[in-house]
Amino acid sequence: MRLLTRARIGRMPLMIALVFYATIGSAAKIIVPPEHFSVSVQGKYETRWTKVFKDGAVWACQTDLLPYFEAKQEPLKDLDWKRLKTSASSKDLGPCTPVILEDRRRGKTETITGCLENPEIGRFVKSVHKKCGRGLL
Amino acid sequence: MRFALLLILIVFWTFPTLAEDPGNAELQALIDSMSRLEGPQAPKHCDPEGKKVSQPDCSRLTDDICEKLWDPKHDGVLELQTGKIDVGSKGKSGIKSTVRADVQALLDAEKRLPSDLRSKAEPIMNRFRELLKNEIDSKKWHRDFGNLLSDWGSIIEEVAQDRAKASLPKDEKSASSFERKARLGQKKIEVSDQITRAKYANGPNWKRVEQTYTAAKADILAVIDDLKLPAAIREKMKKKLNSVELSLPLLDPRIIDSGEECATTEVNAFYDPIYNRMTVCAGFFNSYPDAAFYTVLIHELGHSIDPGIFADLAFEESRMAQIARKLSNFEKPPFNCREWDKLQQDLFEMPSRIVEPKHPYRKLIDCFSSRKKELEPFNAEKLRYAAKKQTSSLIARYSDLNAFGYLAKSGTKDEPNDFYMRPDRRVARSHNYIPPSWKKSDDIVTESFVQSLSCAKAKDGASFERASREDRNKMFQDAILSAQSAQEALLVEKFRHCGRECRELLKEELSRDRNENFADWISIQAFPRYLSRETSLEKRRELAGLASSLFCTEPGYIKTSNADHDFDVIEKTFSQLPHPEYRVRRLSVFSPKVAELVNCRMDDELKKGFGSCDF
Repeated sequence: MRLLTRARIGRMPLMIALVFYATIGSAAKIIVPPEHFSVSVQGKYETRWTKVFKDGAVWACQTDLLPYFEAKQEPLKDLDWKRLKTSASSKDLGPCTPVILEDRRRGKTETITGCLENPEIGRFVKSVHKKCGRGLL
Repeated sequence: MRFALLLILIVFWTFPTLAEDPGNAELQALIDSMSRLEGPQAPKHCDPEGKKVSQPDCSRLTDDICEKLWDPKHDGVLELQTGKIDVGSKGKSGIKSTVRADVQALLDAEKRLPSDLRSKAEPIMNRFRELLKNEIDSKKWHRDFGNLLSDWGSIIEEVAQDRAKASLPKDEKSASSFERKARLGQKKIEVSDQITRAKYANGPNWKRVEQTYTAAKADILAVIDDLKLPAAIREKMKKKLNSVELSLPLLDPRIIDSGEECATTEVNAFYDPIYNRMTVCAGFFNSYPDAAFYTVLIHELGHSIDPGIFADLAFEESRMAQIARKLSNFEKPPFNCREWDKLQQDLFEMPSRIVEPKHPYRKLIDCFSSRKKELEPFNAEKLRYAAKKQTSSLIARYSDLNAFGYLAKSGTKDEPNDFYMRPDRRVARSHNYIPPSWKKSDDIVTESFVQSLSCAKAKDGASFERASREDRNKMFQDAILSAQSAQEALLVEKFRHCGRECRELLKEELSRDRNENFADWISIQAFPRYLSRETSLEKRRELAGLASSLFCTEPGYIKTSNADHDFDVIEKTFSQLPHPEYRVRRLSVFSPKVAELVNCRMDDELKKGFGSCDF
């Protein structure tokens, strides 16, 4: 009997911890759902990536800088997939900072690869970055 | 065998200079081979203080730092005797260190902010301090942090608007929509750059950049003096290097236009030939040690004299480049119609014969090319074809954006078109409505179009504004075709000067872009000067590893043992991206001089680098 009581007492901190983490669920690691849109800019020394997803009623982003950012405006508002795809396929002059856009929001993955120097792609990336909390400081 | 090894080691300990003398390479090779027979341990050497030290493989010095930096214990934060790298997300919230450093710099700069901004910023600063004190990884914390970032952005906007309003002239109504936008754009840039200056101009990390830059510039000039090149070329290189300026990462397109992320968290540094300035982004100077600054600063300085830029210098002196600069950013067409007609007849004619220019760095550039790629023959026909193809692509791009129509439509009396016949305003619009200080010389499409349109005459002599609908359509089309011819001629002239080093000819297989290799190479030549200022061997080894730590592969990349394959190195030779592969860049640091200074063995892995190339 005493042993059983001891065991029960021994488990108490574990139970408290479980209850605590179940209650404060938001303390858990922020996970990006598989259905998301991602923008990846391959810089000279680092890759700047941004994942955009719907978090309940709000738009949220996870970036290489911030694990969670609640967007004030819809980050994909300026997305025109067809226009971006056409623009990316045209050959650019001069340097190219590679950009990968991936749309995984409908189960399958659609991809566009292009250059940041391309005006259409550059404008879209800048718009997503700004709405996802990059360069705000 | 053990006895033989012992004997050699005794000789080696007794006469340490024998092994350091290049003439004793055979003895060194024997020691190495004996060591291999006996096991993996490297032979013992003596450092200048007479202490016994092992001689590691040079590749290990850099690979070890990278492996340590991203192992589970360090996770992007590595503190050594000679410097610290902090590129992880080690705080409780998981935000990246570069973000925290930038916020901290803002908090530290509060008193230095301009007064109109400071009064509005105070509550936000206090909230930032509170939040950083109670950092946790919860959605609520991140939401609060994100809200603060957004609020801070709104305050900048608000202050810029207040300043723009205050600077409006009394006859505000007469200001066009472009002028109003320009005023606001300028104020936004002004506020942002004031913040960057307050945060960093006197900050310890930017001071480190400035100090390292001074040393780097002196060293690269000394390297140039030692190069086996004609004196005139060396003088030209030195003159160019001396004219390069270092700038804080500002947004003002009249200074450098570094981009918003560069001013805050981006890990980057660049030289911009248009401004002849270079900058180091805040994410880099807030997270890397001086040794990494040094190699990057020399690399960027090297770009001011890289093969492409050096070849461009000849073009910039040509008559065609002068015309292009005259056309660039004009408010009114710069040529009268007679001049323009003559230019079109004389200068915009395609040459029938072109001779490949000889570049003074040819031997060096050849050494950089690990995969000897067969290039297309360099002749007038090929260059004309390349120029035509690229101009078509450029014209298509402008047409996609309705750029010609935008420039040719005057608008209505109530709503005049601010961009009518103003290609300079198109350029300014993409720079927050601030006209940049530079004059471009590689794209004259919109400028030639407007110049041609302003000179166009209908059959009855009417100008473009007064001509009939039918004539106007024809004038519009002819002006596009005229711009096309001018641009083609400009490109051919450019290619004729830059030859095999033209960046623009890379995709046509007519050139090789070795500018990045050159910038790395010059950095490698200078690096021994930096290392030799450190007396401790242990610290020199650390510095050699830290110098290229920027190229440690980021986590998330598929890691496999280096001994397994060289897939990345091989794949890179097929890529059109200019920078060499990361590990190749790290290994290239170990030139024979550096290997001597850090007493490491130049192992086979180093053959993948290009530290041993020469003119």
